[in-house]
Amino acid sequence: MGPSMPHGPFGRLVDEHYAQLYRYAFRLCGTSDAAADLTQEAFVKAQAQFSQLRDPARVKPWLFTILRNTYLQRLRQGRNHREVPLDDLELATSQEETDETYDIEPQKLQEALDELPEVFRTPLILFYFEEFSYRDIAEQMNIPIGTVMSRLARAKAYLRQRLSRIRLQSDDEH
Amino acid sequence: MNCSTVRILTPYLLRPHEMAEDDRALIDAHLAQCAQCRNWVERERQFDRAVARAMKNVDVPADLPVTLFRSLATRRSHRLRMRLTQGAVAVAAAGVIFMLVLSLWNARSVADPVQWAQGEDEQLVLTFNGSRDSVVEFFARRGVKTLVPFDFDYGLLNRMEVVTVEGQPVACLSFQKGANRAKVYVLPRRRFRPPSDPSGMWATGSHCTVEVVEVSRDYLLVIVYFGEANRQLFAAAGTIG
Repeated sequence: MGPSMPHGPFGRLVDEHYAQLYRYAFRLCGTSDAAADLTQEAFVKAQAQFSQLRDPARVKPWLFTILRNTYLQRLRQGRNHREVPLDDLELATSQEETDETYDIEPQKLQEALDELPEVFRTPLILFYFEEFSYRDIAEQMNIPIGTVMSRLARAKAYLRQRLSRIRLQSDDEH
Repeated sequence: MNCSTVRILTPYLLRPHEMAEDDRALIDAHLAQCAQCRNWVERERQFDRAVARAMKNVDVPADLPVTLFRSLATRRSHRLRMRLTQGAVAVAAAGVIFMLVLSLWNARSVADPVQWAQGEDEQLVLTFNGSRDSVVEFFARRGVKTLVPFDFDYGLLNRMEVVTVEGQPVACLSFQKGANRAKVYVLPRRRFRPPSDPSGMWATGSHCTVEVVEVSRDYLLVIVYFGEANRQLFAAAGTIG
């Protein structure tokens, strides 16, 4: 942090969480410009609502919730997002028997994420940040834990299939 | 516990700390004796690790913190300016309201004992004077040009006041003789006219009698007699009866 960085509790909060928040924003939006913009807007809102943060121990889910709400607001304001129909997510969650090891390219992952509806994409992103429990995800999305788990199962199945297809196509090209 | 139960519980299995101890023990027992499920769980974990690795593989722009703090500082100062402006407007509004209340408060009439004393003295002088001229002067000083009837005994006058009738300030004289009282209102004819029917010049109420008298070309009198009083009781010597 440079000398121009502000001090105080909010300055420390930004310092501690901006990277995580940006990564989350990037996975939601898919581009670095949009992610930076979204992160900035989320922090501006957080700064305005900082006095409403009752439990400092819950600051991270609080920030993530603000960022997601900001993102949803933007989606509602009309930015088109190409998503797969929900029916395509009705996949068997059973795993293909395979002994291959996974090596996933971040860009391919992003392409697969971009195709998912937000209600499936968000739990997936939060889940793979690993630090969020099912309960945290449920609270952030305001849905029951059971719904989080079923959406995760469907989204993972889609992701697995989508990434395998990419890998197969890539193998064919070689 | 069988294989399908273990696979249903996989999401929890991948987050052991979120699972009940008893369930975990049952699953561990099943996994210890089922190679197929062990492989299943291991592949799930590999997939999760691979996705998590890729998911977190996002380069954060080096200038992001500077951009963020600059933007936040700008917003903060903007909000501060807004609050200061709102505060200044609120203070100004409160000041205006305070001045308004203060001026209304100060504009109240003063209960000035000097004025009261002068008023009482005036009444006393008139009582002692008992003259029509002093009555005319009394109303003239209050901006009411009026006619003072000739045929009343001004020695019986006990009160004078300017009252408002139909928005018009008019002279009102009160006479008293013993228990008998009468009030005389002097109305300008440019604003008031007598009843068209001459029989309507009198009226009797439950405790008073009212008479309208066309006393001159410019004025009407409305005389109110209370109780058994009548005009003769208040007449000046040599005028009536």
